[in-house]
Amino acid sequence: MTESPVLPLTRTCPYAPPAEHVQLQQEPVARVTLPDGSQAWALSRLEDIRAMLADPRFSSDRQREGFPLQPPGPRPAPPRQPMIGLDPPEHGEARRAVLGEFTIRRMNALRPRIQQIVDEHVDGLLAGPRPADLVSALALPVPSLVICELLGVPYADHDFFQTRSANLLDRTIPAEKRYAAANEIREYMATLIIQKEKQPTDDLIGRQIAKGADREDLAGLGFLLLLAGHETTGNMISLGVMTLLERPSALAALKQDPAVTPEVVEELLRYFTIAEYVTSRVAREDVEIGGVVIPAGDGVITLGNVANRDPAAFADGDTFDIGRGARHHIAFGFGPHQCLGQNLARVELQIVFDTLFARIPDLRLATTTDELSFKDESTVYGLHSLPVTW
Amino acid sequence: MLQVIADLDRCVGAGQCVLTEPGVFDQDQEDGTVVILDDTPEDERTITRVREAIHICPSRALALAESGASGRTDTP
Ligand code: SF4
Repeated sequence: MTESPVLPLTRTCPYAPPAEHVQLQQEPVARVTLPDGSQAWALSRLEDIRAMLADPRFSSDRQREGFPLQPPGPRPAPPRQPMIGLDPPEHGEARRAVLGEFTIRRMNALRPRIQQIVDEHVDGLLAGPRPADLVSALALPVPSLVICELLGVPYADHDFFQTRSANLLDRTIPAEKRYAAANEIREYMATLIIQKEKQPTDDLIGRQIAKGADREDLAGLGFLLLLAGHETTGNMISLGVMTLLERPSALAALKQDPAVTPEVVEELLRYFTIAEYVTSRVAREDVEIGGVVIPAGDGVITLGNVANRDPAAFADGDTFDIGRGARHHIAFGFGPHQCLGQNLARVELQIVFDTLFARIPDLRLATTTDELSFKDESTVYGLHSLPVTW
Repeated sequence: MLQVIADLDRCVGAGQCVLTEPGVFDQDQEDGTVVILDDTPEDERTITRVREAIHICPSRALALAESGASGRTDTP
């Protein structure tokens, strides 16, 4: 038997999962070693992962013994677990309390405002120097502004939580510093909620307060949504622009017919699967997955990136193909925890790509791909900067 | 005849069904759970898309059954 690989691993090719992940696919339910020396299981087949994530016998509780890939050392337990760490029935209750804020109709109603935000940032890009950094000029600020407005968080504070969310997700900095960052955002949220209790506002947090939400729970929720709204969509925007600029036929198809854009977005989501380790679980009892019995207490990691190229689900999965119909990808996870903000992300990505390439038709990279700096150290994959010109 | 069935207790309001076939699925505007607009679609293309929605629904809340089968639907 070969030595089991140590996860997490980083990509060597920006467009492909780490080679070891791909190798793990030979053994769909594989034993892997984690940085702290403990062992876990890694799943790489799409159907196995879907089955596992939809199975309540696997827990999302990050406090539970055996939950994989937790920062080392004593873990300060938050007063209340945010939704991402809850199991049924608590999870369902918490999720249902905010679901109404994220319906497709609600997200579509946000389109004009998102369009306005995107337009303003494209104006800014056009008025600024060339080359420009697309990450700081557009990819980060757009989703940041949108989630701030939706939640009712003053955008003026975005530097504060942007630096802290980046720290929180950075695997290379000490655990204490990551916990400190998390605490600072949580405290910020708690203060904001107290303010909104005194002066009611019509935004997600304000409406939750009016519905009588528990302050601790709401702080956890605000924290989660703010974090998710910052580090994911922005990275998909910059990776997406990079990818499209290097694939003229896909870009031409998108420019020609707006009906193609949603397909492009799904294929980009599948192709990059920027957050895979967040869908880890721990078995509450012995469960068989893909012919292997995972014993109670064992951690399970999902290699979503490899699974989203599983030949059984996506023919020729290493090829970027906007015509494949990629909607069954698991870039947003699967099961009851599937990303709450996924449809907001879809709307934002669609508007950004449509607007950017329509308004700056000769947009191009101001560098080569091998000179780009990728977020290899982060739990959410992306680009540090993306120099573009026109 | 085929009937579209939704288990509202399982639904986590991801809206994947609405994105797939808005003629058959909608969401409750309060709690985000699925609302079935047409529980017995007849044309083949719609049924194909309903099957796709069943496949991608993250909470496995949807099913197609022979009409008359028991199951919870949200139509009165
Ligand atoms: S896709 Fe499934 S979970 Fe999502 S709204 Fe439809 S029925 Fe509910």
